[in-house]
Amino acid sequence: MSTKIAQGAPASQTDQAVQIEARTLAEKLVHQRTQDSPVLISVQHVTRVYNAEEDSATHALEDVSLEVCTGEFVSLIGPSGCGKTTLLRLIAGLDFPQAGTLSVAGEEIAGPSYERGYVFQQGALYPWATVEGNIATGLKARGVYREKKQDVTRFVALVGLTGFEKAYPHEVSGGMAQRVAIARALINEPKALLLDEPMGALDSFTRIELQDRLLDLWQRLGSTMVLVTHDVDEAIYLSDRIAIMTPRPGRINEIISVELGRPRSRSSPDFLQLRSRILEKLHLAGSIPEPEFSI
Amino acid sequence: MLDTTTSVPARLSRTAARTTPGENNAAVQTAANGVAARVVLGKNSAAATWAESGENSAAAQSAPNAVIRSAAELTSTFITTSKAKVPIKATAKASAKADPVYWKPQSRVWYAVAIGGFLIALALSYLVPDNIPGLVRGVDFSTDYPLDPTNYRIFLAAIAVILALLYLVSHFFHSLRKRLLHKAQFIFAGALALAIWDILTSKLFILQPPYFPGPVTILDYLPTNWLNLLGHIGASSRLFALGLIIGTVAGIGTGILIGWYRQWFYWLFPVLKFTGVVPATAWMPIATVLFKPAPVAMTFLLVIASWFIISFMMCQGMESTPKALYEVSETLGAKRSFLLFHVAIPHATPSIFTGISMATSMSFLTLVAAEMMGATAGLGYFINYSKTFSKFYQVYAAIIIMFIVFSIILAIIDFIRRRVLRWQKGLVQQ
Repeated sequence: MSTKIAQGAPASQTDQAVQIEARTLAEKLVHQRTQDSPVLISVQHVTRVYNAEEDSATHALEDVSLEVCTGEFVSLIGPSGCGKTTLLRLIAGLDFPQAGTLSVAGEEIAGPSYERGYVFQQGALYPWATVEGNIATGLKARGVYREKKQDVTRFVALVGLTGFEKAYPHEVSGGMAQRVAIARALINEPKALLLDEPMGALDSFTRIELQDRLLDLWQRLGSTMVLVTHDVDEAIYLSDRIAIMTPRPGRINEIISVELGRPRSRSSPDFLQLRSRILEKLHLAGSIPEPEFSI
Repeated sequence: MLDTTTSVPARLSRTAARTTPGENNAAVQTAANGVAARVVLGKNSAAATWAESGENSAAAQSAPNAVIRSAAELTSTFITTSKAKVPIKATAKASAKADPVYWKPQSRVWYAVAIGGFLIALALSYLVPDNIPGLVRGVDFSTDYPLDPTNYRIFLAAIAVILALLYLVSHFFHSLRKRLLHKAQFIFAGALALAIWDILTSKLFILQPPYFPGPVTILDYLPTNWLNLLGHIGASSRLFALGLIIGTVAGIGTGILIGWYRQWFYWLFPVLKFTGVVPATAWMPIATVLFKPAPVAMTFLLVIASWFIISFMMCQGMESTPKALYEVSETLGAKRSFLLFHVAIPHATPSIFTGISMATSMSFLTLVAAEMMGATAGLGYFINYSKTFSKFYQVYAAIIIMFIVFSIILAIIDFIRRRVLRWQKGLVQQ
């Protein structure tokens, strides 16, 4: 894997030595986490066609396979229409494939379950419930609210919303709303958290802040996360592996391991190298998403 | 302007202290320094317009975490003000825009004029000589017609005193003061209208009885006959409450069934659509035949008036629930019953209240119409009865009472609505 990165762009002699050292260290860290752990989500040869009976059939996904290990952070990236959201919805059990199998921890996915938390792009908070009420919904829906009441306070604090418990969704900012959505999904202690462009509608500063918070939660809770995004920097900054998808028909083109140590710097040479490599791949797929920010 | 710019960093620093993780501080710090530099730059090149910005940059340095967003704000204000070159004028505009609700002049003079209006009306009541004719259209004004101005004068004086007291009380309630001063001109106009009405009717008899009674007549009649009227109010209210409550419960019930179960929707929704258009009063002949005694028939009409519209709105409110809310609930472990009671029904509550408001107006309409046709008590009956005896001042009195009673009912419903729908954006005014 490391050789691949080295091919990307030659660096000066001294830099290279430093980089190799850093990389081997990073590799150790990443592989400790991913390769030793068992496969949690398994997607095998999945095909999903919309309007299958009509002439205008869209092949949202065709023969897609993906394995996500326990505790891993995987991003799905690609231009719009490449089926990344469809794949995430299939994993969540909100949609079903025409062919192929999906399983979580060895069990076939039969429908939505609290074991796979889902965060929508716009948050999809209940406008009639307070921040606290929204976060507590999972416990109420499962009927365990009485026993686990104190979890609500804990998760409010975990996403840094203490003091906003009684606020209604329209009273909080977009970033805060997304944090509520994340806490709401995490309170059920799901095996995997599925994130559908949760930062798509946020401004750059809020996005960076939320990315750090997400990483913090991921490390602290040790949960598995699958993120759909169109932001290359975000994918590199957060993920262990990045699945690059191409449209018409939706396919996983390549899966890239991000072998950078954490915490990552958005301006390190390795980061930028990987970034240009992924952008190149996406260019082959037909479009380059513009970088939305750089520091 | 000064207020807002200084308060923004303070507010942000509070949120930032809670939200920004520690690792970010270094980056934030550099951003903060950048801002301070930019502010100073602005100060040098446009010293006059930025005389007050020293305070801003001080706030920026003391709360570095908060500055990222205020940086953009500061620079953008700087750009706009340097273009406009008259920041003071902009400030004045901003403060005028600050109160879009109470926009009338906040002047004590107008309030004094308003109180004076009632005193003028009182004075006119004493000063303008009565020009009472003996007999007009068979009404003998010496015996048969209430024309004692005592109550009217007490009423005017009472309003003047109440207004003065309210002004005193408003020293302690800022929002009340604003509202009072905002309404001053309207109150004055009301006083003038009363005075003119009085002079045209009870004084000069230009508008002649029995069709145009004056405020003197109505106020002479009302307090002496309030017990009689109270009975009619009670009868109407009882009927109204019964009809609306049954209609609302039935409406919400059928609304849930239709909105949630396909079979119910298939069979009942078309029926609802067609019967909903027909005014409830059209059912009156059928209702009087089907239901005896008359109050039962009238209750039936009121139930019909509210039932269909409420169930229609309920059903629509449930149908319009975004799919994402159901989906996210399912991924949180929700069963079907949870989706109904914790997603679909809460989502429909604004629609329910729209339905109830519409049903209330429809019920008023139906109630009065039904009482005019076949009742032996109630305000509608009282109006009809007064008309047959040409006692139009009683009709006016009943209309005034209706206005008061119905306003109270609507206010109660609105109060409940505001409490229940606190979560709705833009509903609650500051």
